[in-house]
Amino acid sequence: MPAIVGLSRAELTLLVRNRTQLFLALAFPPAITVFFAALLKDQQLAPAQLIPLLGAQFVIALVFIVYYNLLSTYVARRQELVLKRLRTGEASDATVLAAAAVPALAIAAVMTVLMTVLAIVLMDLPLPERPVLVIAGIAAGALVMVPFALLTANRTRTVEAAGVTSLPVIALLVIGAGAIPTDGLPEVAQRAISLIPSAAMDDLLQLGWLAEDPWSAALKPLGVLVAWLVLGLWAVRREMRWEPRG
Amino acid sequence: MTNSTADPVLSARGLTRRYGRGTSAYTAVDGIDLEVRRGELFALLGTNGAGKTSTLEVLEGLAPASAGTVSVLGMDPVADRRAVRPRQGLMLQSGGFPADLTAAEALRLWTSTLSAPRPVGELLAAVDLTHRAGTRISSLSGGEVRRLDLACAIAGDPELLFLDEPTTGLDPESRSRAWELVRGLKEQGTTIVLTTHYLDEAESLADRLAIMHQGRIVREGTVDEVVAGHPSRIRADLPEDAPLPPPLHGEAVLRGGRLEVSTESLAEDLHTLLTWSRAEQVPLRGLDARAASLESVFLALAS
Repeated sequence: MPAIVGLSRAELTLLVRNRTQLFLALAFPPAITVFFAALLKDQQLAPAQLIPLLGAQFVIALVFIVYYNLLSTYVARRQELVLKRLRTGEASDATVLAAAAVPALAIAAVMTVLMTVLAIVLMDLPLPERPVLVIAGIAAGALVMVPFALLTANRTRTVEAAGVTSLPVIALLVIGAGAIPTDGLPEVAQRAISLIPSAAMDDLLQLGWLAEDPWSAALKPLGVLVAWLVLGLWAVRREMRWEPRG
Repeated sequence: MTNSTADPVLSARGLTRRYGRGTSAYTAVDGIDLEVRRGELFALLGTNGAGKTSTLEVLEGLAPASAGTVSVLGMDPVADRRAVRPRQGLMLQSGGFPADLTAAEALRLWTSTLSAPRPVGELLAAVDLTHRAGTRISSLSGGEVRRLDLACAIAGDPELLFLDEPTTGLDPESRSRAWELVRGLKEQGTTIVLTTHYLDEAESLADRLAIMHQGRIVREGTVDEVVAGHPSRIRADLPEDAPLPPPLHGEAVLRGGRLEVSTESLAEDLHTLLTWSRAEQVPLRGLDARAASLESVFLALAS
């Protein structure tokens, strides 16, 4: 059995045993979509207004399933000396870290598909025009959260402390997902916000779903997400903490 | 591959390990030389903070040396990590198992990372944990986790095995079973490097040993070589009105009624003392005579 499969399987076993974490990961995301759909039911919004709201739901779900979940996992494994042990073996550093992320990414994939189906049915949305861009946006958005979780874990002493250390990243991602109306802001601020990964993810979602702009418009948000991913992985490589923080 | 006994599996020259920089810099390992031959069990002894674990981490390839050269199985343990790791086994001082996995699941997790693992059931049996296979790590005793550590270390059938204080926290019975297991591995030709606090462990298992103190190796060789040249000791309490003891080969000190003799000729001096005791009718209370042992050498070095 390849190392990544064995390690991911153990991580999945641990996730299944952590009932609270599992329940929230499985029940929370569809609940967001159902809640939004009920809230917006009588407002007669056009798809162009609904898609950014759906994007915000995806961001919240991914923050929860991928970012926060992995942050807790990495801190727990580091403090339990699991990372230190695995590092003494044959598996490469990248395999060890990637394997821990596999169950969360898999759940994220299933949940975002479920949310998409629920959104189409409950909010009466059309089918995406360019599904490949929708998938690319969600996938890249989810992947970016892995190095974010690792870098936050470096600054987090205990699993409990994650509630505080995660706040800056969550705030950033929520702002990118449209929590602040950008229309009244100066152009510089608007441009800065568009560089947040969650904003890039929303752009791809919109472009992929409604196809109001040419394909080439996807280059900028894709570039933003890839840049975050590369930068994040580079930072992880530089400053990864494998041993417990006292 | 040659199979000569002189073939070094591991060698280090001028191995140095420093922590920190500037005024807070601290040298944990101060330029030591080591050589471990194929099939040998080599024990690294030392007081706490002597630099044993710091040395081991470099030999295991977990940390680079600050200076000096290290060769493990003919390779650089850090740069050639991919080639060295499958051939070596490591037992760290710390568990490092997720608390919510069972013993069998933790071993399965570990063996999934190895290129040629032994079956999990066989490993559990080797460390007497078969009956605990389905028990969560969080419910295992410290000694049981230690045995699971050992099972992980031998899971890849290593040529070279590092054991960092393998029996710390084990009850006497588990300890002797662990010794048997280690002896069995040695008989199969595994080269073993072991650190321990227990001198009897080194005395019983090691072919050769080195004693570290303050980052340097202060004694090295077989147990006999290390002990040789160290004096034996006789101790007894004399009554206040006792006459002066007879002349002895060794050096005798009488202080507050306690006689302490440090001697190279244990049998002869003991005989002289006993004859004197009978002739003069001086009782030798609490008489204690012991040959030099690893323990006496160790205590003399550490103090």
